[in-house]
Amino acid sequence: MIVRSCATFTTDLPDDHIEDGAEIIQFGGKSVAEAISEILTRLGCAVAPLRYADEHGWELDIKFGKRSLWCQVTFMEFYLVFFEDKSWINELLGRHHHLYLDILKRLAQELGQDLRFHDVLWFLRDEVLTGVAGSKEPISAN
Amino acid sequence: MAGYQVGNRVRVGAFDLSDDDLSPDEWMARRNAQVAQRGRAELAGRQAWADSIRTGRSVNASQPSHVTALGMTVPNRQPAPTNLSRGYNPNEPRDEHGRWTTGGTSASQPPSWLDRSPGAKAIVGDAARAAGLVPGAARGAWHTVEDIGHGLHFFGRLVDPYDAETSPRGEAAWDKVFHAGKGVVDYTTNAISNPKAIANDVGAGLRRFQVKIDPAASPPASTLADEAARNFNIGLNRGETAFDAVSLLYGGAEAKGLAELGRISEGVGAAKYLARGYPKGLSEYFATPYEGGGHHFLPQRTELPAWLGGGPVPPVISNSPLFLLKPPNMSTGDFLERHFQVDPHYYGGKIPKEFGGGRWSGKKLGWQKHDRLGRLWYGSPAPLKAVTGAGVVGAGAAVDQVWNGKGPP
Repeated sequence: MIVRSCATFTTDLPDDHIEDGAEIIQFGGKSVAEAISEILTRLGCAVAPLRYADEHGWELDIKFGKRSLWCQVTFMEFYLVFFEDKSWINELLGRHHHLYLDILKRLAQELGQDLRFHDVLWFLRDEVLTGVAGSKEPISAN
Repeated sequence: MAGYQVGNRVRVGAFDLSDDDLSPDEWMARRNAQVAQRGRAELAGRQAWADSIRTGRSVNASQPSHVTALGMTVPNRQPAPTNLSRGYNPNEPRDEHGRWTTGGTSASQPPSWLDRSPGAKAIVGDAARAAGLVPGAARGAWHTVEDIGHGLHFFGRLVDPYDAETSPRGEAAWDKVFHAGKGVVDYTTNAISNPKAIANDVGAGLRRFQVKIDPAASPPASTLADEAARNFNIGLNRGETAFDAVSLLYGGAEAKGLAELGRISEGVGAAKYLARGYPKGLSEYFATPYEGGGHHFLPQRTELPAWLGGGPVPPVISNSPLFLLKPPNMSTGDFLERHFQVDPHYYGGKIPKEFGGGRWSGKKLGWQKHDRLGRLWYGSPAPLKAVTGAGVVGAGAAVDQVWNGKGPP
């Protein structure tokens, strides 16, 4: 099973990236992070308030059942989103909790159907920005 | 006076007498002389072997007997001082029977069967080499810290305007720089006129390195204890070599070279990035001073364990110098490259409109992400390295202090 935890897309949501001359005052992605927070809350997650993470963009801490999940939104003319299980043991062992897989699949469906988001594609972490063609589904058999 | 043994006859200078011609006391004195001379030959052989390391000359000393034989071949062997237990001197004090009261080690401390057993020496040697590996690596860490300290001290003297006034004549930091430079020039000039000198120096250097890590490159010791000490030293050297090799891969060499200081000075100016082929606007953006949030070694998403109350790690911890990598005086490009390398969730960003706008991607710039070990090393702030490394380095310092200079090689 291949689990792609990274998505790229464009959006009609307002650009909230703020610059002052040569300096970036606030990295963009806040509006997208807020939209994802709303979607996840609708899907049954408990989402903590957004957290600004400088050049990383914006982060969300999420609870789904007893699983602790994490989402990062980075703006780089398009949006780069990571949606991951916080368990470092699972990451180390390369395994995935069924609750994580369930909410990942449902989030992908919501993003794909939401008219505010366009060209949603899912990638493995190593495939990001490498030119590898993304997948429309985050989870596939092979 | 030189002397050596042939069969049961002893030749001492011009004298060559059969044992049958001697009284018991004379025979005992002669036997003592033989033993003492063997010790002296071993001493001369070991000196010849040590000289071969310096000169790069190849000598055969794979067995203890070879060392003695090597000593026999050394011309004009000098009598050892009488206060050396392994030396031999015809003027040494004698007892009432004419016997030397000092002499070779063998005379005063006969070797046990273990000392004579190659198998026992091999087993003990293997164990001692293995035992030396870990403390050797720790000693390598300690030497790295020492080197950094010396480098920082010397750098401080270089920029100290009063160093020349407060240092003895010829000992100022800049004097040493000029002397080192002159030495390089002199060496280069000599090498041009005598290219063989370079080959000799390289050969001698390689042989010194081989002797440090290869048990077969130095003669076995004559006793089991000395053989254990010799192999423990080789283990230490191997451990330190391994530490240096790993730190070369994962940044220890960078620390040794104080490359951070160089990085600060070279971080200004877009030329560095233009030279890499980056676009002009991006190069100018990368040349600006970095003023962002830094890299959190302990990600902000990290939660405390339940027994500590759970919830996110307080910012006072995650933003502390122990866990926030944010070196001062770094350019945006240098920091973002480091950030890209050590953070698996950071891939690039926007270029401010002031510099033409658009986006940059670390992968498209040819940057590579570090593996887990590289992330740990490069992504951890210096204070955290200092704290966690203190234990290892402390152990290395202890090894260095306790063992330094004990035993060959």
